Amino acid sequence: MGIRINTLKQEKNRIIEKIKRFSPEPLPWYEYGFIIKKDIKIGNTVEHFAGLIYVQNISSMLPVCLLSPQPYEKVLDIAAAPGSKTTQIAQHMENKGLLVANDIAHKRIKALTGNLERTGVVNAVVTQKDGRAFGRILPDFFDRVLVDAPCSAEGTIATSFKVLEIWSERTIQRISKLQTQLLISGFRALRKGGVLIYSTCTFAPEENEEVVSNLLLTHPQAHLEKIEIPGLKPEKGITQWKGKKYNPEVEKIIRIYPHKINGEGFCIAKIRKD
Amino acid sequence: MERDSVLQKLERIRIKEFLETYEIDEKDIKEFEFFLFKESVWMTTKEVFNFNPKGIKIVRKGLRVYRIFEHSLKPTTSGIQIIGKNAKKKKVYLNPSQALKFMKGEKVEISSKERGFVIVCFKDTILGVGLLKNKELKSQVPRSKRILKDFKKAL
Repeated sequence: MGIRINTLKQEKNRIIEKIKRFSPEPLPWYEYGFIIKKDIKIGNTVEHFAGLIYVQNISSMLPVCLLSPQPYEKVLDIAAAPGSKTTQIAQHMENKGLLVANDIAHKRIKALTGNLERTGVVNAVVTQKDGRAFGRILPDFFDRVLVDAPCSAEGTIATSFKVLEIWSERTIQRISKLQTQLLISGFRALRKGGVLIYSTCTFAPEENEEVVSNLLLTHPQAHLEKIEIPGLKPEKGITQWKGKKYNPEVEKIIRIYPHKINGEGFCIAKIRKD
Repeated sequence: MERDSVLQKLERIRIKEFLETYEIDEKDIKEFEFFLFKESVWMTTKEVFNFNPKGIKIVRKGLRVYRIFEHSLKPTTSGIQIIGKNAKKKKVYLNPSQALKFMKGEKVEISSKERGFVIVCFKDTILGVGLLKNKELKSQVPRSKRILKDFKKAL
Protein backbone atom coordinates (compact mmCIF):
# COMPACT_ATOMS: atom_id res chain seq x y z
CA MET A 1 0.00 0.00 0.00
CA GLY A 2 1.21 3.49 -0.84
CA ILE A 3 0.91 6.39 1.59
CA ARG A 4 1.83 10.03 1.33
CA ILE A 5 2.71 12.04 4.40
CA ASN A 6 0.84 15.34 4.61
CA THR A 7 3.10 18.21 5.61
CA LEU A 8 0.18 20.65 5.75
CA LYS A 9 -0.55 19.18 9.19
CA GLN A 10 2.91 18.55 10.64
CA GLU A 11 6.59 18.69 9.70
CA LYS A 12 7.89 15.80 7.59
CA ASN A 13 10.30 14.40 10.18
CA ARG A 14 7.73 14.38 12.96
CA ILE A 15 5.31 12.34 10.81
CA ILE A 16 8.05 9.95 9.69
CA GLU A 17 8.90 9.32 13.35
CA LYS A 18 5.26 8.43 14.05
CA ILE A 19 4.81 6.01 11.13
CA LYS A 20 7.97 4.07 11.91
CA ARG A 21 5.82 1.44 13.63
CA PHE A 22 4.38 0.51 10.20
CA SER A 23 7.93 -0.20 8.89
CA PRO A 24 7.50 2.10 5.87
CA GLU A 25 9.79 1.88 2.86
CA PRO A 26 10.59 5.34 1.42
CA LEU A 27 10.18 5.83 -2.32
CA PRO A 28 13.56 6.63 -3.90
CA TRP A 29 11.97 9.20 -6.19
CA TYR A 30 9.59 11.05 -3.86
CA GLU A 31 10.39 12.37 -0.40
CA TYR A 32 6.77 12.26 0.81
CA GLY A 33 5.87 8.79 -0.54
CA PHE A 34 6.17 5.46 1.29
CA ILE A 35 5.18 1.84 0.80
CA ILE A 36 3.64 -0.09 3.68
CA LYS A 37 4.02 -3.82 3.18
CA LYS A 38 2.56 -4.94 6.50
CA ASP A 39 -1.12 -5.81 6.64
CA ILE A 40 -2.21 -2.73 8.58
CA LYS A 41 -5.61 -1.07 8.58
CA ILE A 42 -4.25 2.42 7.97
CA GLY A 43 -7.76 3.92 7.95
CA ASN A 44 -8.08 3.12 11.67
CA THR A 45 -4.87 4.78 12.80
CA VAL A 46 -4.47 8.10 14.56
CA GLU A 47 -2.21 9.40 11.77
CA HIS A 48 -4.94 8.79 9.19
CA PHE A 49 -7.60 10.21 11.52
CA ALA A 50 -5.62 13.43 11.99
CA GLY A 51 -4.85 13.73 8.27
CA LEU A 52 -1.10 13.26 8.73
CA ILE A 53 -1.08 10.53 6.10
CA TYR A 54 -3.04 9.94 2.91
CA VAL A 55 -3.50 6.54 1.27
CA GLN A 56 -2.48 6.93 -2.38
CA ASN A 57 -1.20 4.55 -5.01
CA ILE A 58 2.49 5.28 -5.53
CA SER A 59 2.17 5.74 -9.32
CA SER A 60 -0.56 8.31 -8.79
CA MET A 61 1.96 10.47 -6.88
CA LEU A 62 4.06 10.88 -10.04
CA PRO A 63 2.01 13.45 -12.01
CA VAL A 64 2.18 16.03 -9.18
CA CYS A 65 5.89 15.31 -8.59
CA LEU A 66 6.45 16.24 -12.23
CA LEU A 67 4.07 19.20 -12.15
CA SER A 68 6.15 20.57 -9.24
CA PRO A 69 3.71 23.28 -8.08
CA GLN A 70 5.17 26.10 -5.98
CA PRO A 71 3.77 28.36 -3.22
CA TYR A 72 1.85 31.45 -4.43
CA GLU A 73 1.33 30.07 -7.95
CA LYS A 74 -1.97 29.74 -9.80
CA VAL A 75 -2.66 26.05 -10.44
CA LEU A 76 -5.56 24.28 -12.14
CA ASP A 77 -6.54 20.66 -11.51
CA ILE A 78 -9.06 20.26 -14.31
CA ALA A 79 -10.57 16.89 -13.28
CA ALA A 80 -9.87 16.89 -9.57
CA ALA A 81 -12.19 14.39 -7.83
CA PRO A 82 -11.70 12.44 -5.63
CA GLY A 83 -8.76 14.70 -4.75
CA SER A 84 -5.63 12.60 -4.15
CA LYS A 85 -3.59 14.71 -6.53
CA THR A 86 -5.36 17.94 -5.52
CA THR A 87 -4.38 17.51 -1.88
CA GLN A 88 -0.86 16.65 -3.01
CA ILE A 89 -0.70 19.87 -5.09
CA ALA A 90 -1.86 21.92 -2.06
CA GLN A 91 0.89 20.32 0.01
CA HIS A 92 3.57 21.34 -2.52
CA MET A 93 2.09 24.86 -2.59
CA GLU A 94 2.28 24.97 1.25
CA ASN A 95 -1.36 26.12 1.34
CA LYS A 96 -0.42 29.36 -0.45
CA GLY A 97 -1.66 30.89 -3.68
CA LEU A 98 -4.58 29.71 -5.83
CA LEU A 99 -5.51 26.10 -6.51
CA VAL A 100 -8.60 25.58 -8.64
CA ALA A 101 -9.97 22.10 -8.01
CA ASN A 102 -12.52 21.47 -10.71
CA ASP A 103 -14.82 18.59 -11.53
CA ILE A 104 -17.89 18.30 -13.67
CA ALA A 105 -19.83 15.81 -11.52
CA HIS A 106 -21.62 16.98 -8.39
CA LYS A 107 -21.54 13.43 -6.96
CA ARG A 108 -17.76 13.21 -7.15
CA ILE A 109 -17.27 16.68 -5.67
CA LYS A 110 -18.47 15.41 -2.27
CA ALA A 111 -15.52 13.02 -2.07
CA LEU A 112 -13.21 15.83 -3.20
CA THR A 113 -14.35 18.28 -0.52
CA GLY A 114 -14.12 15.55 2.14
CA ASN A 115 -10.49 14.89 1.25
CA LEU A 116 -9.63 18.60 1.13
CA GLU A 117 -11.08 18.97 4.62
CA ARG A 118 -9.33 15.96 6.11
CA THR A 119 -5.95 17.05 4.80
CA GLY A 120 -6.42 20.70 5.88
CA VAL A 121 -6.32 22.37 2.46
CA VAL A 122 -6.93 26.12 2.71
CA ASN A 123 -5.78 27.38 -0.70
CA ALA A 124 -8.30 25.54 -2.91
CA VAL A 125 -11.46 26.75 -4.58
CA VAL A 126 -13.73 23.91 -5.64
CA THR A 127 -15.50 24.58 -8.93
CA GLN A 128 -18.07 22.61 -10.90
CA LYS A 129 -17.65 23.11 -14.61
CA ASP A 130 -17.05 21.11 -17.76
CA GLY A 131 -13.24 21.21 -17.91
CA ARG A 132 -13.43 21.84 -21.64
CA ALA A 133 -14.58 25.42 -20.92
CA PHE A 134 -11.51 26.62 -18.95
CA GLY A 135 -9.42 27.47 -22.02
CA ARG A 136 -12.15 29.80 -23.24
CA ILE A 137 -13.02 31.37 -19.88
CA LEU A 138 -9.50 31.78 -18.42
CA PRO A 139 -7.00 31.82 -21.31
CA ASP A 140 -3.26 32.13 -20.44
CA PHE A 141 -4.12 32.32 -16.72
CA PHE A 142 -2.48 29.45 -14.83
CA ASP A 143 1.19 28.83 -14.01
CA ARG A 144 0.61 25.07 -13.94
CA VAL A 145 -2.19 22.82 -15.09
CA LEU A 146 -2.86 19.17 -14.29
CA VAL A 147 -5.00 17.27 -16.78
CA ASP A 148 -5.39 13.92 -15.09
CA ALA A 149 -7.93 12.80 -17.62
CA PRO A 150 -10.79 10.34 -17.19
CA CYS A 151 -9.67 7.17 -18.97
CA SER A 152 -10.32 3.48 -19.61
CA ALA A 153 -8.17 2.70 -16.53
CA GLU A 154 -6.31 -0.30 -17.96
CA GLY A 155 -3.48 0.37 -15.53
CA THR A 156 -5.71 -0.40 -12.55
CA ILE A 157 -7.03 -3.80 -13.68
CA ALA A 158 -4.78 -5.63 -11.22
CA THR A 159 -6.53 -3.92 -8.31
CA SER A 160 -10.03 -3.43 -9.76
CA PHE A 161 -11.57 -6.10 -12.00
CA LYS A 162 -14.61 -3.85 -12.50
CA VAL A 163 -12.57 -1.99 -15.10
CA LEU A 164 -12.91 -5.02 -17.40
CA GLU A 165 -16.70 -4.72 -17.34
CA ILE A 166 -16.67 -1.23 -18.86
CA TRP A 167 -13.64 -1.67 -21.14
CA SER A 168 -14.29 -1.72 -24.90
CA GLU A 169 -12.63 -0.48 -28.09
CA ARG A 170 -15.58 1.87 -28.51
CA THR A 171 -15.11 3.39 -25.05
CA ILE A 172 -11.49 4.10 -25.89
CA GLN A 173 -12.42 5.89 -29.12
CA ARG A 174 -15.09 7.96 -27.36
CA ILE A 175 -12.95 8.88 -24.39
CA SER A 176 -9.98 9.79 -26.63
CA LYS A 177 -12.00 12.66 -28.12
CA LEU A 178 -12.93 13.95 -24.67
CA GLN A 179 -9.31 13.71 -23.52
CA THR A 180 -8.10 15.73 -26.52
CA GLN A 181 -10.67 18.45 -25.78
CA LEU A 182 -9.71 18.53 -22.10
CA LEU A 183 -6.00 18.72 -22.90
CA ILE A 184 -6.52 21.54 -25.41
CA SER A 185 -8.67 23.45 -22.90
CA GLY A 186 -6.06 22.99 -20.15
CA PHE A 187 -3.29 24.06 -22.50
CA ARG A 188 -5.15 27.23 -23.53
CA ALA A 189 -5.66 28.08 -19.84
CA LEU A 190 -1.88 27.82 -19.28
CA ARG A 191 0.23 30.99 -19.36
CA LYS A 192 3.25 31.34 -21.61
CA GLY A 193 6.18 29.51 -20.02
CA GLY A 194 3.82 27.45 -17.84
CA VAL A 195 3.90 23.68 -17.37
CA LEU A 196 1.09 21.21 -18.01
CA ILE A 197 1.06 17.57 -17.00
CA TYR A 198 -1.20 15.23 -18.94
CA SER A 199 -1.71 11.87 -17.28
CA THR A 200 -3.91 8.80 -17.50
CA CYS A 201 -3.91 5.45 -15.73
CA THR A 202 -4.27 3.57 -19.00
CA PHE A 203 -2.02 2.23 -21.77
CA ALA A 204 -4.16 2.67 -24.89
CA PRO A 205 -2.11 4.86 -27.28
CA GLU A 206 -5.39 6.41 -28.47
CA GLU A 207 -5.71 7.91 -24.96
CA ASN A 208 -2.10 8.99 -24.59
CA GLU A 209 0.25 9.45 -27.53
CA GLU A 210 -2.60 10.21 -29.94
CA VAL A 211 -4.11 12.84 -27.63
CA VAL A 212 -0.76 14.58 -27.10
CA SER A 213 0.06 14.30 -30.81
CA ASN A 214 -3.24 16.06 -31.61
CA LEU A 215 -2.25 18.94 -29.32
CA LEU A 216 1.21 19.26 -30.90
CA LEU A 217 -0.37 19.31 -34.34
CA THR A 218 -2.81 22.11 -33.59
CA HIS A 219 -0.78 24.19 -31.09
CA PRO A 220 2.77 25.06 -32.21
CA GLN A 221 3.46 26.69 -28.79
CA ALA A 222 3.20 23.24 -27.15
CA HIS A 223 6.50 21.46 -26.51
CA LEU A 224 7.04 18.13 -24.86
CA GLU A 225 9.73 17.99 -22.21
CA LYS A 226 11.91 15.01 -21.41
CA ILE A 227 10.97 13.37 -18.10
CA GLU A 228 13.62 12.05 -15.76
CA ILE A 229 12.82 10.55 -12.38
CA PRO A 230 15.79 9.42 -10.29
CA GLY A 231 15.48 5.74 -9.42
CA LEU A 232 12.77 5.01 -11.96
CA LYS A 233 13.19 3.64 -15.47
CA PRO A 234 9.93 4.11 -17.34
CA GLU A 235 9.27 3.02 -20.94
CA LYS A 236 9.16 5.53 -23.80
CA GLY A 237 6.01 6.66 -25.59
CA ILE A 238 4.85 4.79 -28.70
CA THR A 239 5.23 6.63 -32.03
CA GLN A 240 2.94 4.46 -34.16
CA TRP A 241 -0.10 2.33 -33.48
CA LYS A 242 -2.53 0.48 -35.74
CA GLY A 243 -1.14 2.11 -38.86
CA LYS A 244 -1.25 5.64 -37.41
CA LYS A 245 1.97 7.59 -37.07
CA TYR A 246 2.20 10.09 -34.23
CA ASN A 247 4.43 13.15 -33.80
CA PRO A 248 7.88 11.65 -33.01
CA GLU A 249 8.07 13.98 -29.96
CA VAL A 250 5.58 11.72 -28.15
CA GLU A 251 8.48 9.40 -27.45
CA LYS A 252 9.08 11.74 -24.48
CA ILE A 253 5.86 10.49 -22.86
CA ILE A 254 6.61 8.00 -20.11
CA ARG A 255 4.81 4.67 -19.68
CA ILE A 256 4.83 3.13 -16.24
CA TYR A 257 3.96 -0.55 -16.19
CA PRO A 258 2.52 -2.06 -12.99
CA HIS A 259 4.97 -4.98 -12.74
CA LYS A 260 7.91 -2.56 -12.86
CA ILE A 261 6.79 -0.13 -10.17
CA ASN A 262 4.64 -2.33 -7.94
CA GLY A 263 1.82 0.17 -8.38
CA GLU A 264 -0.81 1.09 -10.94
CA GLY A 265 0.05 1.69 -14.60
CA PHE A 266 0.35 5.28 -15.78
CA CYS A 267 1.21 7.35 -18.85
CA ILE A 268 2.47 10.88 -18.33
CA ALA A 269 3.41 13.77 -20.62
CA LYS A 270 5.08 17.02 -19.55
CA ILE A 271 4.22 19.94 -21.80
CA ARG A 272 5.53 23.50 -21.77
CA LYS A 273 3.93 26.50 -23.47
CA ASP A 274 6.37 28.69 -25.37
CA MET B 1 -21.65 30.83 -3.74
CA GLU B 2 -24.73 31.36 -1.60
CA ARG B 3 -23.18 34.14 0.48
CA ASP B 4 -19.65 35.37 0.29
CA SER B 5 -19.37 38.54 2.29
CA VAL B 6 -16.53 40.14 4.12
CA LEU B 7 -16.73 39.33 7.82
CA GLN B 8 -19.21 41.40 9.72
CA LYS B 9 -18.03 43.36 12.72
CA LEU B 10 -19.49 40.98 15.32
CA GLU B 11 -17.80 37.93 13.83
CA ARG B 12 -14.54 39.82 13.59
CA ILE B 13 -14.73 40.58 17.33
CA ARG B 14 -15.60 36.94 18.06
CA ILE B 15 -12.62 35.68 16.10
CA LYS B 16 -10.33 38.05 17.96
CA GLU B 17 -11.76 36.77 21.26
CA PHE B 18 -11.32 33.19 20.07
CA LEU B 19 -7.67 33.78 19.21
CA GLU B 20 -7.08 35.35 22.60
CA THR B 21 -8.85 32.51 24.43
CA TYR B 22 -6.63 29.86 22.83
CA GLU B 23 -3.62 32.18 22.70
CA ILE B 24 -3.17 31.83 18.98
CA ASP B 25 -0.84 34.45 17.54
CA GLU B 26 -2.58 36.64 14.92
CA LYS B 27 0.64 36.48 12.91
CA ASP B 28 -0.08 32.78 12.25
CA ILE B 29 -3.21 33.65 10.30
CA LYS B 30 -2.41 37.08 8.89
CA GLU B 31 -1.92 35.70 5.37
CA PHE B 32 -5.47 34.38 5.24
CA GLU B 33 -8.90 35.84 4.56
CA PHE B 34 -11.90 34.94 6.72
CA PHE B 35 -15.45 35.12 5.39
CA LEU B 36 -19.00 34.08 6.20
CA PHE B 37 -20.71 31.32 4.25
CA LYS B 38 -23.37 28.77 5.20
CA GLU B 39 -23.57 29.99 8.83
CA SER B 40 -19.87 29.34 9.26
CA VAL B 41 -16.59 31.19 9.15
CA TRP B 42 -14.26 29.98 6.39
CA MET B 43 -10.55 30.60 5.93
CA THR B 44 -8.71 30.84 2.65
CA THR B 45 -5.92 32.65 0.84
CA LYS B 46 -6.33 36.14 -0.60
CA GLU B 47 -5.85 34.71 -4.09
CA VAL B 48 -8.70 32.21 -3.63
CA PHE B 49 -10.92 34.80 -1.94
CA ASN B 50 -10.56 37.14 -4.93
CA PHE B 51 -11.09 34.41 -7.54
CA ASN B 52 -14.59 35.00 -8.95
CA PRO B 53 -14.58 34.33 -12.70
CA LYS B 54 -17.79 34.68 -14.66
CA GLY B 55 -19.22 31.45 -16.03
CA ILE B 56 -17.66 29.07 -13.48
CA LYS B 57 -19.76 27.73 -10.61
CA ILE B 58 -17.92 28.04 -7.32
CA VAL B 59 -18.87 25.31 -4.87
CA ARG B 60 -16.70 26.40 -1.95
CA LYS B 61 -13.52 28.21 -1.04
CA GLY B 62 -10.96 27.19 1.54
CA LEU B 63 -11.64 25.47 4.84
CA ARG B 64 -14.58 25.78 7.26
CA VAL B 65 -12.96 26.78 10.54
CA TYR B 66 -15.84 27.75 12.84
CA ARG B 67 -19.57 27.20 13.01
CA ILE B 68 -21.46 30.26 14.27
CA PHE B 69 -23.72 29.86 17.27
CA GLU B 70 -25.72 32.61 18.92
CA HIS B 71 -23.09 33.48 21.50
CA SER B 72 -19.96 31.69 20.41
CA LEU B 73 -17.87 30.18 17.68
CA LYS B 74 -17.37 26.44 17.63
CA PRO B 75 -14.15 25.41 15.90
CA THR B 76 -14.40 22.53 13.40
CA THR B 77 -12.19 19.44 13.58
CA SER B 78 -10.39 20.27 10.33
CA GLY B 79 -10.14 23.94 11.25
CA ILE B 80 -8.60 23.43 14.66
CA GLN B 81 -6.06 20.97 13.21
CA ILE B 82 -4.72 23.88 11.13
CA ILE B 83 -5.43 26.98 13.24
CA GLY B 84 -4.72 25.31 16.57
CA LYS B 85 -1.20 24.15 15.63
CA ASN B 86 0.40 26.97 17.57
CA ALA B 87 -2.27 27.50 20.23
CA LYS B 88 -0.88 27.83 23.74
CA LYS B 89 -4.05 27.63 25.83
CA LYS B 90 -7.10 25.40 26.26
CA LYS B 91 -5.34 22.28 25.10
CA VAL B 92 -5.93 18.92 26.76
CA TYR B 93 -3.73 15.87 26.29
CA LEU B 94 -5.17 12.35 26.31
CA ASN B 95 -3.57 9.01 27.10
CA PRO B 96 -3.86 6.18 24.51
CA SER B 97 -7.10 4.66 25.81
CA GLN B 98 -8.72 8.11 26.16
CA ALA B 99 -7.56 9.06 22.64
CA LEU B 100 -9.15 5.93 21.16
CA LYS B 101 -12.44 6.69 22.90
CA PHE B 102 -12.31 10.27 21.65
CA MET B 103 -11.70 9.22 18.04
CA LYS B 104 -14.67 6.86 18.29
CA GLY B 105 -16.87 9.76 19.38
CA GLU B 106 -17.28 8.56 22.99
CA LYS B 107 -17.23 10.60 26.22
CA VAL B 108 -13.95 10.69 28.13
CA GLU B 109 -13.37 11.37 31.85
CA ILE B 110 -10.38 13.65 32.34
CA SER B 111 -8.91 15.63 35.18
CA SER B 112 -8.71 19.16 33.82
CA LYS B 113 -9.89 22.51 35.09
CA GLU B 114 -10.67 23.76 31.59
CA ARG B 115 -14.24 24.39 30.47
CA GLY B 116 -15.95 24.83 27.11
CA PHE B 117 -14.50 23.95 23.73
CA VAL B 118 -10.95 22.67 24.06
CA ILE B 119 -8.26 21.53 21.64
CA VAL B 120 -7.82 17.79 22.12
CA CYS B 121 -4.37 16.32 21.51
CA PHE B 122 -2.64 12.98 21.59
CA LYS B 123 1.07 13.65 22.11
CA ASP B 124 1.87 16.41 19.56
CA THR B 125 -1.05 15.61 17.24
CA ILE B 126 -4.30 17.56 17.32
CA LEU B 127 -7.22 15.14 17.23
CA GLY B 128 -10.00 17.72 17.19
CA VAL B 129 -12.39 19.64 19.38
CA GLY B 130 -14.00 18.49 22.62
CA LEU B 131 -16.60 20.08 24.87
CA LEU B 132 -15.34 19.93 28.43
CA LYS B 133 -17.72 20.27 31.37
CA ASN B 134 -17.32 18.92 34.89
CA LYS B 135 -14.27 16.87 33.88
CA GLU B 136 -16.27 15.11 31.17
CA LEU B 137 -14.96 15.55 27.63
CA LYS B 138 -17.55 15.19 24.90
CA SER B 139 -16.01 14.39 21.52
CA GLN B 140 -17.11 16.79 18.76
CA VAL B 141 -15.68 14.62 16.00
CA PRO B 142 -18.28 14.32 13.22
CA ARG B 143 -19.71 10.83 12.70
CA SER B 144 -18.19 10.55 9.23
CA LYS B 145 -14.68 11.11 10.60
CA ARG B 146 -14.80 8.74 13.57
CA ILE B 147 -12.74 5.60 13.88
CA LEU B 148 -15.15 2.72 13.97
CA LYS B 149 -13.10 -0.15 15.33
CA ASP B 150 -10.41 -0.68 17.90
CA PHE B 151 -7.14 -1.56 16.32
CA LYS B 152 -4.04 -2.49 18.25
CA LYS B 153 -1.76 -0.38 16.01
CA ALA B 154 -4.09 2.62 15.98
CA LEU B 155 -1.77 4.65 18.19
